[in-house]
Amino acid sequence: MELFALSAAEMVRGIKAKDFSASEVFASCLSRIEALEPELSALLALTAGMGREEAARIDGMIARGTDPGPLAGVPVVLKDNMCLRGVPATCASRILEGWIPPYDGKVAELLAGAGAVFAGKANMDEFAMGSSTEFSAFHPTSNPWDTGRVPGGSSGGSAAAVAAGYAPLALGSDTGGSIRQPASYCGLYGLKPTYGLVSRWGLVAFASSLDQIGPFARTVEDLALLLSVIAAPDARDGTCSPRERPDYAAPLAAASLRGKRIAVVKELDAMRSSVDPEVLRVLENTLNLCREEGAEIVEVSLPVSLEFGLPCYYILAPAEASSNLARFDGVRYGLSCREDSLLDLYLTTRGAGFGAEVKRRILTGTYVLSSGYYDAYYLTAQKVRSLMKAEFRKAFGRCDLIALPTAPTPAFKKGELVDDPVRMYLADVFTLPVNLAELPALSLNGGFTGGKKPLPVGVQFIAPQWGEPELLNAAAVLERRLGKAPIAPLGAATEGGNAP
Amino acid sequence: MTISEKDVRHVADLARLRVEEKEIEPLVRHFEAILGHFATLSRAREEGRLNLDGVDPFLFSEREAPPLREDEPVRSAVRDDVLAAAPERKDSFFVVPRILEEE
Repeated sequence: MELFALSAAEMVRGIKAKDFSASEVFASCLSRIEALEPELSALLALTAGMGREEAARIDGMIARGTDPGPLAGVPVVLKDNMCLRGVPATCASRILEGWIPPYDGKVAELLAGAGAVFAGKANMDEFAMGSSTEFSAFHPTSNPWDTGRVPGGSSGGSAAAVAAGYAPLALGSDTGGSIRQPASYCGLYGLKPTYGLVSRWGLVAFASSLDQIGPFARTVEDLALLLSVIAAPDARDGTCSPRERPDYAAPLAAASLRGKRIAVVKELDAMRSSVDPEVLRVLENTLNLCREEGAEIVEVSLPVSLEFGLPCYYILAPAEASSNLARFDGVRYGLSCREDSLLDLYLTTRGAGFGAEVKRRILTGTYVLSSGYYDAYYLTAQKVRSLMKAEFRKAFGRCDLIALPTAPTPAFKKGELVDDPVRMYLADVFTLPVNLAELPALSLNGGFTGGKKPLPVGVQFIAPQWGEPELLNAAAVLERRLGKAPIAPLGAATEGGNAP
Repeated sequence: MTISEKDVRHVADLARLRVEEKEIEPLVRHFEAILGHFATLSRAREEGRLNLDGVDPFLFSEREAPPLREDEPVRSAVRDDVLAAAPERKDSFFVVPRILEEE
């Protein structure tokens, strides 16, 4: 097996045992990237020079007998809305083109401190607004399982990179499903942590009450390993909890579903006609596996979340975005269309710098916050959000985890939904209630669609606040039954995983 | 819900976005569809399927109180880097077009 196809944990073990070097691992990933990038366009920046230097530094530490950390020599891809000192962070937007962050975000600091090696910055929907990565101002990204389809979004570049074997690990951000939905479309593990688990210092803000950074990986052990590194307190993010974080990887060896109550959601029944039958089949099959592993399947009701979560989210997230994106004004950084008056400077810069979807959301957000409409939209949505939090709290009185599809369909075709924002928004119907309720959730690959080009289909598990260990426990048990997430069959033949 | 070109231009103005002529038609159409979707909420309230009486709006997380850090001065080492990214600067200032008329 080539080095790029190893899991992060296998890379760390091999590098520490001197079976191979961090430089060899990085070179293997780099040649994989160079071979496939023309087809996939998953990245906005390749940090080859920086990565080579870092890998050599890790090898030097190993030679001297110093422990480089839990991610020693593992290549990692960052979504392009995260700051890495000296490397452009564009958020896939013209308005930030050429901007180079003068500092590291907290997650970049933590990764570097753990011995990780940065391989590149991943493509995304502009400012993380989208569900297909087609709203990148630079280029769309292809789904490694079928290059005519989208990888999901907004963290589509991160997901495509891990699914294609560019790196075993990537970080994404999830405001309404932007980690879980691309994880589902690309056949990976993707975790959206509890609000407040991971610091957003150095993450360009979209909707501050919803944004969370989280990991992508092809094995549960890798997912837990990366989560253990990034889940740390940070005084520079006032919403980041100071609570102790457990080691997420250690308990996985003893993972079991015996005696766990996993809930199906009653309202999903009424929605069956709008969910792809293959998605329902994969969900059912996964629940059967849970049952065979000793879990009890129960039923809970989430009527507000499933019926009203979508409009609630698409009022609140754009409202916050319209405020957060006010900072892009052409005065301090990024694109600046110089004009004779300050007002014209703002208007022209923002008009030229933002893409269509970002403009739609800024307009929507401005509208729902504007005089005369605030009560009808924003305040109403915040009340709905309270109801959603309450109904999740009640549901978790009766179960340990809730199971739902990650997305209503497998990956859709490029171009299919770009001119129909409301249908595109529907891709988030099962994921966004989790952000509104500030909960953690994990998407795993439950299986594949039939047909000539099988597409991965995700299943989502939702836990109570700080319930990441419970999610990883369930995922570890299911990984024993389903196999680890495979590298997509692209380019040179790859081994390992449960490829269909 | 009907949205006019004028409505879109007004909101774009509030949001400090210049909207080109060719952007207007799709914006009106998309905006109308999005607001139409939001009407799900008001319709459900009228039909009694969504009762928000006595419900407090969600404003803050009910998690533990946010941590307060020590009130210690910290020197930022990035001032020059930040200013270097300015589209136009003079010394340690960002330059913008004049906003006050000279007497």
